[in-house]
Amino acid sequence: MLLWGEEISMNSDRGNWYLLTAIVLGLSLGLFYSWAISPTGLEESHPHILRSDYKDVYRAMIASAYDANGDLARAQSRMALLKDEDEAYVLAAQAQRILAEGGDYKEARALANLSSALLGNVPVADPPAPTEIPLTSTLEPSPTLTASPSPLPPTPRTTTSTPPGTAVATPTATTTPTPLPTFTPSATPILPFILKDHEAICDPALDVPVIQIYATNKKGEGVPGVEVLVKWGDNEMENFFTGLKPEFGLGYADAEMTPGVTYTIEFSHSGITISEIEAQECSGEAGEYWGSWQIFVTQPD
Amino acid sequence: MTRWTRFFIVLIVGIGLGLLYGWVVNPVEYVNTTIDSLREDYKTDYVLMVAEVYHTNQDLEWAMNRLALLGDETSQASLEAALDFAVQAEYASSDLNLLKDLNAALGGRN
Repeated sequence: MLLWGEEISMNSDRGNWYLLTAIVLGLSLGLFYSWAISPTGLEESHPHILRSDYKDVYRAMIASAYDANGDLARAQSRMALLKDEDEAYVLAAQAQRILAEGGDYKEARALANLSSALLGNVPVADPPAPTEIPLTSTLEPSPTLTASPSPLPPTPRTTTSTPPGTAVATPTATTTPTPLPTFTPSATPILPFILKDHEAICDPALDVPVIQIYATNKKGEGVPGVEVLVKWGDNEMENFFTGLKPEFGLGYADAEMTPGVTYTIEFSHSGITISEIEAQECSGEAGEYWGSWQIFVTQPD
Repeated sequence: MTRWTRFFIVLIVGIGLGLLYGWVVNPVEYVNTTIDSLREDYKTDYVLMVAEVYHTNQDLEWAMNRLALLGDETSQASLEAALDFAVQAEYASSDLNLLKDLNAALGGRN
């Protein structure tokens, strides 16, 4: 058993290790408190670090606001906050997702319009809103067709995703509030298209006969958000929009045809009407199959 | 100075250095955040977007649903906070009017 004096003497021999213990313990406690218990900046977050579903909400809000006020400069400055790599693509893809999930048509429309506007195209005016837009219009029960591989190889697009997790300790950049441009309400004008070409095609790679629409601007870039009306039979009609399948291009849209039915395609805001569209019989190595149609429209110089 | 005194002094210095590093030098950076955690100016801009859309569609229920994402007790509380910030940050009068219109529709001050 050690006496008090002997203990003190032994502890003195340990040197200053207790100070090292104190500093390590203190640093640990300080870091734990500042990183885990009471980190800074939770109420200071930026739009680009929002969770992806909240980014969608934020993006849809930007598009809706643009739809309401027509202020592209303001919409661009807001979109920049989200730091999307390809803003037009992301907007069009979100519009497609909304329609595929049976979501809000107006919201999808606003997203497509903003996507179009960001590409330098003047979006089309808002059409009378139907209750829902099919991604691919299925018009009538189809006669038997030979199944074939997917029609168009999707163009791979690079998208970024946020790695899972809640917090990562890395230096934070300082951001200043973004000044907003002055709000100027303006009407959204319509820039019409002209018919460039339309033709019946025989493509055995197409599973079913379809009407493929390609809308481009004068620079040859795809234009999303272009409304296409397809009519057939006794006043039956569907409408759909370009850009809702961004993997095929922002200016692409298609609608499925039923063999034996004659269709009329209209670009309502451009005065283009193409009638007598019908699936043609084709034959090839794969045997007989139904052909499709391709329609090319463009904005004039 | 006893060893315990020195121990606690160094401990406190360590805690201070840890806090300095964790809060200032290398603070936590968040990902996957929610709209209610946005900085005040971004929140205000979000409210302004709602007000811009409301100005066109006059759909109060839609506006309230969107404002609910801000996590305040009421939509009006979100509007009041946004209005205060907008006035302080000297937003354009047209924007202030949009915010005031929506606030009035929600039953707040005009």
